[in-house]
Amino acid sequence: MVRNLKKIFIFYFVIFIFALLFFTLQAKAKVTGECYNCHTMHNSQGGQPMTFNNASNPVSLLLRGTCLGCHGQNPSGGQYIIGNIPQVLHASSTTDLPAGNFAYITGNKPLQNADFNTAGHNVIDLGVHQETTLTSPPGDINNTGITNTNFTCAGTYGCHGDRTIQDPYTAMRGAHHTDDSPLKFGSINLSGQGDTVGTSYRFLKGVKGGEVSWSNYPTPPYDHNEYYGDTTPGTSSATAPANNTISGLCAECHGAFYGSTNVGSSSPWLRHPTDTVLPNAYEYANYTTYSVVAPVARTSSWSGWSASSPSTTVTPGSDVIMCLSCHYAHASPYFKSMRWDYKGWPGSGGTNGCNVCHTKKN
Amino acid sequence: MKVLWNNKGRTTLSLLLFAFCFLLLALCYLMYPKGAISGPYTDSAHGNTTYGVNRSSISSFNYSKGNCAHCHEQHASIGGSEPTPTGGPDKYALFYKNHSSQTDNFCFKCHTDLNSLQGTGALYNYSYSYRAGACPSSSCTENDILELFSYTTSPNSSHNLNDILNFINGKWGYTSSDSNPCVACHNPHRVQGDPANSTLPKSSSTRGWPVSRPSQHSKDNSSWGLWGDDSTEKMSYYTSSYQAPYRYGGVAYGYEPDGSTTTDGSNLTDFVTFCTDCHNSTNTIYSTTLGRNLKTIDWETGDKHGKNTADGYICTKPPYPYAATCTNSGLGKVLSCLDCHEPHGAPNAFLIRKEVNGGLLSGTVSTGTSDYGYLCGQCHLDDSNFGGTANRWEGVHHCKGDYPYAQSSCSNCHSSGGGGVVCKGGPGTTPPIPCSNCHYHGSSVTNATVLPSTRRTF
Repeated sequence: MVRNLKKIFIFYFVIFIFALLFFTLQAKAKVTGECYNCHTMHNSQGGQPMTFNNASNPVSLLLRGTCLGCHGQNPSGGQYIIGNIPQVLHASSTTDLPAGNFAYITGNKPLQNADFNTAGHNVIDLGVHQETTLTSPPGDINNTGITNTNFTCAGTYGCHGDRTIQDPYTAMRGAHHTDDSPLKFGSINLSGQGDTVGTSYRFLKGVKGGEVSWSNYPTPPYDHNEYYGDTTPGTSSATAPANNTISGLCAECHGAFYGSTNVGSSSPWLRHPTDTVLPNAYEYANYTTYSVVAPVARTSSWSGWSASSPSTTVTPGSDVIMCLSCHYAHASPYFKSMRWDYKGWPGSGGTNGCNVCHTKKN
Repeated sequence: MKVLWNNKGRTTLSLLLFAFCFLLLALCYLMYPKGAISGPYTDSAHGNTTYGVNRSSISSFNYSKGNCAHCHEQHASIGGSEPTPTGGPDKYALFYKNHSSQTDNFCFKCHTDLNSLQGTGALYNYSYSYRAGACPSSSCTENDILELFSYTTSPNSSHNLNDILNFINGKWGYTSSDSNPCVACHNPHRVQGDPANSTLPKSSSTRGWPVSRPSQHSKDNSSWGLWGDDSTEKMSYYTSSYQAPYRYGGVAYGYEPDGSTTTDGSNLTDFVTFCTDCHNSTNTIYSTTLGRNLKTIDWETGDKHGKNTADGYICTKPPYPYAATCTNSGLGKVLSCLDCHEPHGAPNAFLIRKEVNGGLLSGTVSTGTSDYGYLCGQCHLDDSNFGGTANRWEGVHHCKGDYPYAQSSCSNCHSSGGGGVVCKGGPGTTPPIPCSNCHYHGSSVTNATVLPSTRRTF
């Protein structure tokens, strides 16, 4: 009998070990922690609402907040990461996230030469300073239907999530719980990216790329993401980015500024090219050290996708120009959400990001 | 036992910290002075933060003067629409098509004194006669580039921009479909005013360098540099025999190009090397205006106005070698192309300047028989210097210096007449032979009746 008990004990111990291994080795979700950190069943606890802003109206998907509820928790505060959650709206005087900072639109951070209309993407979720000049995206040849009164973070009238779904929450559904390891350095897998929102770069469905870890941000080389680009532009629709590139995402709304028809296929360009190789010749050959002022995108053949961190090098002849080489995605203090004081140069005496690539036109 | 800081120690430490911080700040200031930007573009006329490019149609956006956006529209859209002029996008992301015709060109959208898109609506540029020769503005009235290139009807002349485009097509990285003919001579990202931002003639303290050699054309802004801005690109480097002509008014007003007393060409761009990138002894250049190929130019071993030294006498006026009856001393002076020619356009044929060597031409150089003489007489002794009539050339042809033709049987060469004035004191009824019969780049005669019978005639 003792021997039988021993066998039973060993059997269940092995089962226990397997179960332990199963749960610990199971793919990690983007978010961790208790469900109630983000969700509330009834928006009521002790008679009080559970939303982050104490609003009594419940939020879709049993969430405790809107996008900014998590990603803009303290607009006037100096933290750009709160609990490992990137803050896209904050007032840190030293650091913005790679996509910029909506604080330049809300007024929580000072503008340089932009105004509230020209600092960036005026999503209505900000609740203030709705765009008053533009009523649709410039260059919107895909007729996205986006206007200054419906432009939001996600969904059909936004950028993140599945743009075939209008409701921004539904467009983002499940993404935060998805295993995001194919997007993280050390385990990047381009072929495993883009098919779902959760496996797309920064939840921009269809877009590929490498996401920098916030734990080391912004210490170089962890001061930038690695954006995905292509050597020639494709064709974006209103809801799908050409060739899975970040520039292809921009082209969903700003299609007139992208593609061989609108830009040209080689020099002399009709418009500034994107998803085009930075030439390994002339002044461009001098751009060999990665600059967050005018970053480049990488193509599918870039060897750095398998690295453990973003790269500090640029390879003219291989790396490509993208929309984000010149613009921030969210907002910046500069006119037209530029990455530097383009409008003020050269009179301002400051940096001209154009010279990062156009090294001899200073 | 605790050792506490006393007042003296605290004071000393405070002072040391203060000094350290001051030194640190000073170091930061020295290493990173604000506003101290300089580079090939910002040193150019277009990139200047005070008077650089400043397109009026985007003034509401308050782009800095010198900003790229004044010429290049990255998206052909600012604020949701294309700024004036519309019709884009255009190649090189320019705000207008690069080149359409002699008077419809991207550059002329600003370089005009009427409805210019630059600043207040007028951008003034002047002739070389004005800038270098200090020709009075009442005589050299042209005040913008479009005006100069609009000189297309005889006797006016200008560089034919379509011909330039056709010639440079396929050379040095240019193409006729994409390039701007102005860019054959100017690098828009480096070009400087001479003088910069001024309506005055050149002066020694305000020099700039406007041209870049077409043969050095490159997308590398450093490789395609300014021509004339260093010592090896001056006329003095090209030849030790350059003699600067006078400015308008003569010796009292100094010498070209900047009114100084410098005469050896050390202050003058080597325009010979520049111009002969195209106008040389081998290139074939078709002229739509003339309906023929241009004469080739051999400034090294051919033309006497170049390095082919005069080998007898010369009958020239100051500052060139001078004697009342011609001289055989001081021979071998070498001219710069712009001593006689305008680079853009002129109210004379062949882009001949209105003012040369200290004075205005006494007539318009057109198709008249002796029209060339109006130019030649600015430097060469004509009959008026020998007791005869201005713009008649009996002396130098028949009895002065190393004249080529004995004076007899006038009608053998002239259509009629006889009795030389200067040489024989006669009535002077001989009609002139068209100067252009014998005198042009590369010309020579083989029928001189006074040896040598073969002579270069230009």
